[in-house]
Amino acid sequence: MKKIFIIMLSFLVLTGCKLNQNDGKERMYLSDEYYNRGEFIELKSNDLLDKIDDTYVLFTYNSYCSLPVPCEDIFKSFAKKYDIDFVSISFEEFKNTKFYNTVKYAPSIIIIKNNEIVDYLDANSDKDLNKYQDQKEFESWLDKYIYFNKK
Amino acid sequence: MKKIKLIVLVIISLVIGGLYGYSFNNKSDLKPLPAQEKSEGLRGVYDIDKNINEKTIDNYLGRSDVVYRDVRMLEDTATWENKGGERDLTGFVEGFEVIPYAYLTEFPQEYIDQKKSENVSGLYQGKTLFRLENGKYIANYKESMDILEYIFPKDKTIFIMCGAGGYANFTKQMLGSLGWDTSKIYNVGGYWNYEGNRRVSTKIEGSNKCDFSKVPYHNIDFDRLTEVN
Repeated sequence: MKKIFIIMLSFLVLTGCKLNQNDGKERMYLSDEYYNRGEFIELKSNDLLDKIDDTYVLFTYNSYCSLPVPCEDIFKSFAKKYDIDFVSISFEEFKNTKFYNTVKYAPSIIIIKNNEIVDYLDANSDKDLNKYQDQKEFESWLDKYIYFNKK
Repeated sequence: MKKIKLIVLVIISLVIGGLYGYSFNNKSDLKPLPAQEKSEGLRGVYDIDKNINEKTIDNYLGRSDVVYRDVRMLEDTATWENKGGERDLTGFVEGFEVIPYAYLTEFPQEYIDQKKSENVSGLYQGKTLFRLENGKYIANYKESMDILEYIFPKDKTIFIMCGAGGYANFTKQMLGSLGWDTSKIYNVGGYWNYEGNRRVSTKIEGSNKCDFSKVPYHNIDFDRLTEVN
C-alpha cells in the first residue's frame, strides 16, 4: 500500500512538473498605460529606452514590399477589440534595438517585460503562420501571456 | 632515327598537353546549387528560399551560372514614409543589378487597395512592359518579351531580391506565368534582412540623399519602344 502511494505521489509530482513546464508561461498584466484606446503608437528605437521597466506588446513591420497576408489588420483589430495599445516600430528602426539579436524577421509581434523578450511571432516558422492570419489563433497565443483587461 | 623519335615525342607531348589543357579549362569549379526549398512561416508564403537567402547569399555570389536581380525602384513614387519606410534605394548587395518590378508590369488592383488601406498611396502606375488582363500578362510593346528575356536569361539561374521578398515573389510569379522555368528562379529575400559583408550603400555621407551612380541599373526607355495596340 505504501509502495502504491509512493508511486502515485511520484507520478503526480512528475505529471505536475510536466504540466507546469508546458503551461509555465506566466500570465501578466501590461503596464497600465497600454490599457488605453487600442492604438498603435509609432516610436523610434531610442524611445524604447524609456520603456525598460514596462510590460508591452511591440509590433515591428516591413514598410516597403507586399504582405500577401494582411496581418496588420488582424493585430489592429485585436487592439481595438480590447483597447490595448501596441508599440509600433519599423523594421529599420527595430534593427537598432537589442531585440534584433533574437527576432530576425519582420513582421513580428513581441511581448516584452522589463526590456526582455517573453515570446514573439516568428515570420520564419510554420508554427506561427496561422497566428499571422487568424485573429482567433493570434488572440489565443497572446492570451497565454497577457491579461486583456486591466487589474 | 633520332629525328623521328623527337618528332613522335613532340606530337605525343602536344596531344597530352592539349587534352590536359582542354579538360582543365572545361573543369567547372561551381558547386551545384541546393534545390529550391520554401522557407517556413510567412517567409514561405512569399516563396523566399530556405537555403539561399539574405543570411546565406554571400556564399552564392559571383557565379557565372547565375544572374542577380534586385527589383526595387531607385526612387519609389509611393508614400512609404507614411509607414516609417523610405522611398530611396539606400543600398544593395554587390553583384545584383537593379530592374524595378514596377516597370515590368502593373500592380494588381488588390495590392494597390491593400496599400491604400495602409495609408500608402502613389504606387507607380506609369508605363510598363506588360499589363494584367484577367490574371494574364499581355505585352504592351513589341519589344517587351525580348527585353524581359535579356534581363532574365532563361539559360541561367535567376536570383531575385527586393526589400522584404514580396516584389521578388511577384516577379517570380510573373516570369513563371510567361514561360520561365521557376525551378531556376530563386526568391532570395529582402535587402532589409541582409546580414552579409557585400553591402553597397548608396547613401551620401552627411546627407539624406543617395548616389545612384553606384547602382548597376537596367534602364527601360519606353518612349523608344513600339506600342502594341
